[in-house]
Amino acid sequence: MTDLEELFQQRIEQLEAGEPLAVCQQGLPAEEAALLQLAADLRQVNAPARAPEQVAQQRAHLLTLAADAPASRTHPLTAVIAWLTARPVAAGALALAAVVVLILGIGLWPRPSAPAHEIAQEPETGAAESVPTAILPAPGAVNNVAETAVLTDPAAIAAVPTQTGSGLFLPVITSPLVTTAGEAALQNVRGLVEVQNEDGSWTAVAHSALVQAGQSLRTGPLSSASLLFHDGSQAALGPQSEVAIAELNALLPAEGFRTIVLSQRQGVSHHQVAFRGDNGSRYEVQTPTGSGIARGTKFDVSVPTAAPARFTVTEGRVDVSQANRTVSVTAGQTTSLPENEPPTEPAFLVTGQGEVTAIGADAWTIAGQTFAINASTVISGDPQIGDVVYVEGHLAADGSRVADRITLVYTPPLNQFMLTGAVEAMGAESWQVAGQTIAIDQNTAVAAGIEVGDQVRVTGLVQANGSLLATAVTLLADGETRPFDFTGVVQTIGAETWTISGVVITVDSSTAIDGDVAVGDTVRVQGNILEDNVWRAATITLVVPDQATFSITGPVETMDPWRVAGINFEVTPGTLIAPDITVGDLVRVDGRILPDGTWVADRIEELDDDSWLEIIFVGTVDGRDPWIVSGLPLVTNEQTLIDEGIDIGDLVRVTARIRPDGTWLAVRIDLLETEVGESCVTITAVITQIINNQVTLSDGTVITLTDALNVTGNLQVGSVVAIIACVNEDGTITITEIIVIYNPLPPTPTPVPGTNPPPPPPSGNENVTICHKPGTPAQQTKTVPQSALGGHLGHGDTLGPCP
Amino acid sequence: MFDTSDANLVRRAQQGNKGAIGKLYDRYQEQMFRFAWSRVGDRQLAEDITGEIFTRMVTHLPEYRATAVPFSAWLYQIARNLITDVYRRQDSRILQPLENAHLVAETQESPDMMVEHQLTIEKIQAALETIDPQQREAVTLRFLTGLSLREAAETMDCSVAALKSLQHRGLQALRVALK
Repeated sequence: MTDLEELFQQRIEQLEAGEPLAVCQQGLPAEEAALLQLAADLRQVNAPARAPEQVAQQRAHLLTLAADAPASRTHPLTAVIAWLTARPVAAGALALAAVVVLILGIGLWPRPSAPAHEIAQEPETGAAESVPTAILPAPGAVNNVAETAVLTDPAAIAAVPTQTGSGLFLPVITSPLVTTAGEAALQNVRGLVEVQNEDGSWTAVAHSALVQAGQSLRTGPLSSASLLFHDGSQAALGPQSEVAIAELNALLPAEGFRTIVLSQRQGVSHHQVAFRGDNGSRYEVQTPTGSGIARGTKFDVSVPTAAPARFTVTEGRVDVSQANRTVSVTAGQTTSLPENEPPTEPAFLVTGQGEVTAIGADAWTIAGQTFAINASTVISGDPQIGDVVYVEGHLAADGSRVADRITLVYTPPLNQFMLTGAVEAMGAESWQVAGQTIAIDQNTAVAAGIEVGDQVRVTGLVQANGSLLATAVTLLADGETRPFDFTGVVQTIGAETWTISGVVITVDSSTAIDGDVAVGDTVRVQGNILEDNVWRAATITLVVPDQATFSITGPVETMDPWRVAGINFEVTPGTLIAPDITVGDLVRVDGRILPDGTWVADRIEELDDDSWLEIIFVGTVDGRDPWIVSGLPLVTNEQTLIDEGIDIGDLVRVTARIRPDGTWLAVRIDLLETEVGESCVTITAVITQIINNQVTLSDGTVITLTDALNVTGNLQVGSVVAIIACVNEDGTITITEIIVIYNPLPPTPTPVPGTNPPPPPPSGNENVTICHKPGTPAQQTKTVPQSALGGHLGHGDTLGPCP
Repeated sequence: MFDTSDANLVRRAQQGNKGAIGKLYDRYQEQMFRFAWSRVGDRQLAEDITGEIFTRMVTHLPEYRATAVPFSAWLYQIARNLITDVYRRQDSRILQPLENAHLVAETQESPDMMVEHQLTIEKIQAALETIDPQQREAVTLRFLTGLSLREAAETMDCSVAALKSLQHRGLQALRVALK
């Protein structure tokens, strides 16, 4: 670089620092001064501001695309180049997208499989010039096919000619598993999937089983499966669904006309139909109240028990018929089939995901949008205000949105906690763990055999009785076993092994089995994963499917997708994931099993020597220098990972380690993307003063306690409280409830923003080194709080390091 | 101390963390829009390109390797490719003939007129298209997109010293083209 360029750069920096142009030009040769003038002129050229709604729409689309990423990887360029080059159509697509969708959602089956603009542009573009060689089916289907290694063989994938006027491209996939056109292979089996025998009985079947015309297939709760046909078409069944294969002759184009006729008696199904341009081929789904015929498309069929059947099309077109009337349902539309009536006029599909901010008898507010609720609306998972749900619905003729299905996706982790540490005291109503008082009630699931001094993991809720309320207390792994706890559907029952939601469980005489469990029942099973990867059950208990949860411990096998102890599971934005987990780490995973059998993690906790005094909690930022969250001062250091852009008042998830001096060292502080609804919000604060009925919070707010204000728990100075504040129609705010989340014991000095972290607690928390389980294979040198020493010595541990 | 690195966000995004993807979008959407707009001069087209940049980002994230090139450089490369595609397909609409730009320039009444009136984005685009691509990139990133010297250097995967040279020579070339 020349001296002149260096000088010029210095002046540029001055200009960028805000100095006047004339000052920056002083002393420069005329040529350089002119260049500086040009640079300044260029900086004055202001780009137009982006439209906020377009930014939001792009962002939402992106997140949807991220959820569908496996399917998206194969069709990235062509569709959008068509989108870019067909501007009028793209504009139409955007407009349509704005009207039709909150953007196709994520996660739950059945999931739409195409981005919004792709759907919207199809009827008009044809998009022939940008046909990819293969666009894979929906995510689940990709996984299915990949398992059979079909897609690894390029010769097995052939692009189908473009369907004129539809822009629909589906691969023809010939599967080695589907050897004849008269058979379909069962794929992606989750939970209990059965085929009906000739005598009418049902037999559980496994992945890759072949079925033929005349056979029926059904799925149990927490279960799903898909059928892969010879021509590459696929039908996926959701939970508690039943389909009969009425006709099956899935010939390839070169072989003749294709005939696939399915009769869906109940449940939900998703279909991806390989396109056929001939007039003799048929892919038909019959329901009790009507049928739909597709030539090449993607669509969903829902046959609820107490509502009309419904066809929803995500790509292409389906002709739906009943009572001598046929309606054409195109991409983005849905129609229902009331009994003995013609199909309803197709309406645009509305799907999306968001926070529930209002629940009414006739309408819910989801992601800020109002959805009408009627008798046909299926609501799954008992979502509450604040929960994130997936909603499917349609636009009514008057432009209003009507929800057809609302499914709980996850409950934001607000007011939940997870704590690991030594048990220091065990009482009937509360325990002392890692210096924290933990309330125990009749609903707390306490693992057997816990003693004072043991390392445990406590999960629970911050709520009602003035302390942390445990929902579960489990022993931390000592190395010889890894506990598991999950809810699943029983597929087989044997003398020594059962299969529960695909997991082979070993039972023996010590296994406590609650009640008469039969195949098809939903059970909770708890036990340990032994060294040889045998899952040995300690208890098996009948439960209702809504309580389907799991907890497993094991090394991380993969993280994309997540796999631990042989179990694949998904994570959501609400999943609490301990920092810096990598493949090979020993972790404990807690989560839920969705209706289709998908395992979704709520928490992933790393188990190692450093994690036993770790706490993860969600709170509101009170201060940043020093950091104070929900009134709790945090120590940060250079290793603390802190999301950028966190402001006071933001909701964050804190992963902290309780240090020997009692201070909380933040490992990471993550900003939670929680959209505050228009109705009520929860604010966390610390009480700094109470005089008569006047309660002062750490931010100076004074609340007057009245009879109308519901207070739960024992208010005291230092209490961390959740305040429920609701916005009235006139814009004023009413505080309706105060819930004591946390009363520190022993009382800590009132934290004030700007002060140092709390002082060290009373003696007893100094660490001592012990030999844990000396003389056993699990022998291990550990450092534990002095307060826990008695318990350890009581069960045979010795003071000092192991020999 | 702050976990502001692209690398961390990208790593999480590659694991399917939608929050991380959202943050990457938030971090770069404005830059990408400005970059696209400064190159195509059409607001709606710039919006479309911006959307597509991030669509491709998500689609190709699994293929991205942090060791190969900085994330921002990778993202800008996506943008460049897209803009090139657009130019190739819609050149008649986007590219203003250079002589027209000169014509516009010559019709300016006074050198003292407001800068924004003299330097329309159409003129700048037309002039930029005539200069060396590397210099064009440096000028666009530094003065139209608003990146710092270090950011622009990282994006172009070159040293800061090299970037200083490129921006200086780019301005010289652009000034000639605008005359």
